[in-house]
Amino acid sequence: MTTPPFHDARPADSGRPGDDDLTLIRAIRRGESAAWTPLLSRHQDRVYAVCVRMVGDRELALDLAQDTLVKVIQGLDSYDARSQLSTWITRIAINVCLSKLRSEKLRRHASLDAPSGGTDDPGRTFAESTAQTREQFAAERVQSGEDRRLVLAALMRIDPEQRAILVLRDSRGMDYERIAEVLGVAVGTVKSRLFRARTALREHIEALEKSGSGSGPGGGVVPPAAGRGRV
Amino acid sequence: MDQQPSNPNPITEADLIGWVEGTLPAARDRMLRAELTRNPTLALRLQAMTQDRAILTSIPDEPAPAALLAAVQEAIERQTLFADAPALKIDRPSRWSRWALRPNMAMAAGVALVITGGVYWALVFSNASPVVRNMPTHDVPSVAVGPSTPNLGPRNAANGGSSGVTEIAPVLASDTTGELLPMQGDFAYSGSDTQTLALAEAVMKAESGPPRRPLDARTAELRRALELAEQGRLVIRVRTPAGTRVASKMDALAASASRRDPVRAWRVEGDVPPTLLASLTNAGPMTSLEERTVTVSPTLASSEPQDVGRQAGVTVPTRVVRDTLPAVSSPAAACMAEFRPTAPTLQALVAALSQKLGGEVILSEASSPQPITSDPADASSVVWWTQPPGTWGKWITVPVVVESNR
Repeated sequence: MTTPPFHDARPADSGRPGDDDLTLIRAIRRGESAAWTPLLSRHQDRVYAVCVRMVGDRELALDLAQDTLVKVIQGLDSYDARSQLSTWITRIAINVCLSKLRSEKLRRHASLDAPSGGTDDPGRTFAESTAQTREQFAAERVQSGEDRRLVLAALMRIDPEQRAILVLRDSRGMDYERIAEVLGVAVGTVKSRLFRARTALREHIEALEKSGSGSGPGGGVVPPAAGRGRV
Repeated sequence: MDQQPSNPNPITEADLIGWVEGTLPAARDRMLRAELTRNPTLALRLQAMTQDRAILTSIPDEPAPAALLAAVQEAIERQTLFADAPALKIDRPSRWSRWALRPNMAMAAGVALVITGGVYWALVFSNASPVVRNMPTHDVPSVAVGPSTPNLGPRNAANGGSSGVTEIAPVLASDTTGELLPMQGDFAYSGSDTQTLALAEAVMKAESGPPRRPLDARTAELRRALELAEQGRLVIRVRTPAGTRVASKMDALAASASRRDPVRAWRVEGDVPPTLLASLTNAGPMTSLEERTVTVSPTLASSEPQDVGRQAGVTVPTRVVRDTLPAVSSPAAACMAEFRPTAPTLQALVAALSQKLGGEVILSEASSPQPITSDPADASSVVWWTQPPGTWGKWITVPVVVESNR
């Protein structure tokens, strides 16, 4: 029982053995109801994080995370341990979110204010750009909260299926095989969809930049535990 | 005609993804860089994607709120309590439950429940005495104080009862036919706590009416009732506590007629024709369709107390009997019930009668057939319908008589 908290363990969804999960599942199947609490405690942060990234709204994410865990309770008998429990639970969470997004046609139309800084320098040549390593450039960019808002706002605007693959890959750090398990597709399909998702995300970011918006009620990143509402 | 030489190792989406994620093998990385030098637009796009990925991976996750585990814990406890997986399937947290999970709302709801319960019980006890005086004696729990003494039947009665035992509730009175008689006189309670408990229980039973007999669509009683209904010999008798507002309850029953359910379609409409009502009241005793088993007590075979009720080697068989009901004397109300002649429909009608009128429903057999018609006759006699005649089902009509059970 030494699994670190999920919010401190990224990239955490790398498929580590789930012996503790299996021990708890066996206890539950023996009728030890007390084992539910530690089992769900191990996964609740992951589920909530996936839901927050998928819907961009803390209130709704809380509801969906609860739905997910209730489904886990209801369906644990059908879990056959062929995949990691975390993979199985993540799959349920993604399906719950996609179902919700499809049913409600949830769309984020947050008006985004202009980002404080430009995201690209049009005059910069590729040679100049490549002079910077990816790591250097990324480190520079992630310091900007405005860029985070912009990326998150664009993430909420792309197709939910594309959003799911970006969430699993970038936010959860899953490898292609586990993403394929979660989404129920082939690894090649994951790669293909991932590139299209990145392309879509970029197009939405550029569209938001052109429209002069970048942050606002729907695009803000609230620090952890800073309150409820949209993220 | 010039022809572009084909690239044996074209750049693929997997290469682009690998470049964005920094996982591209060195050989492919060199090849892609060369390509990007020739295609600055693609180069800028890939670089932007790299930035996007870096931003996405840098955003920290938030821990789940404490309310999440609390809500799920509630579901777990429910599963533990009921140990019934199907019951949990309806456990999708509603907006109400989410609302109730909020501490302030839950506290407010709890206070409101306590106040409502207090007011209810205050009203109940303020009106308790008349109800208790009028209630049937079989509803009164017999509470004995003192050493437990086995009921020795006639021998004990011959001894003048069990000394040392104080019967708090009055002795139950019944006639030989099993009919319950009204209690005479008031209760006498010996202890305040016992009195309170007995009074509360008596009030609750008196208000809820006599125990409702569950009917199952598969029982022989329903099948027999349908046969009698086809013959015009079924009479539904409803026994309600005295003083109930039968007329308004009949109106409510008529308003709740199940017309839309094609399986359990029934309705309660109209008055009973005077001739039919007269025939019912003059028909004499009826027979209840409800069967009950009767076990005859064996003859006392020994003078030893421990052998009372036993007779070695003798098995006393149980018998199935039907009660004879007294004739309908002064009905409080009467109506005609129409329903499709199926067991589920009759079952639904009986349940509605019991629920709406708050009484015991007795399916009884009249001694002689009643002049009851069925409808519809044929399509030509109906001037308006909502469904084609081919879908019509036969409806039969039986009288429903509401009586006081006093």
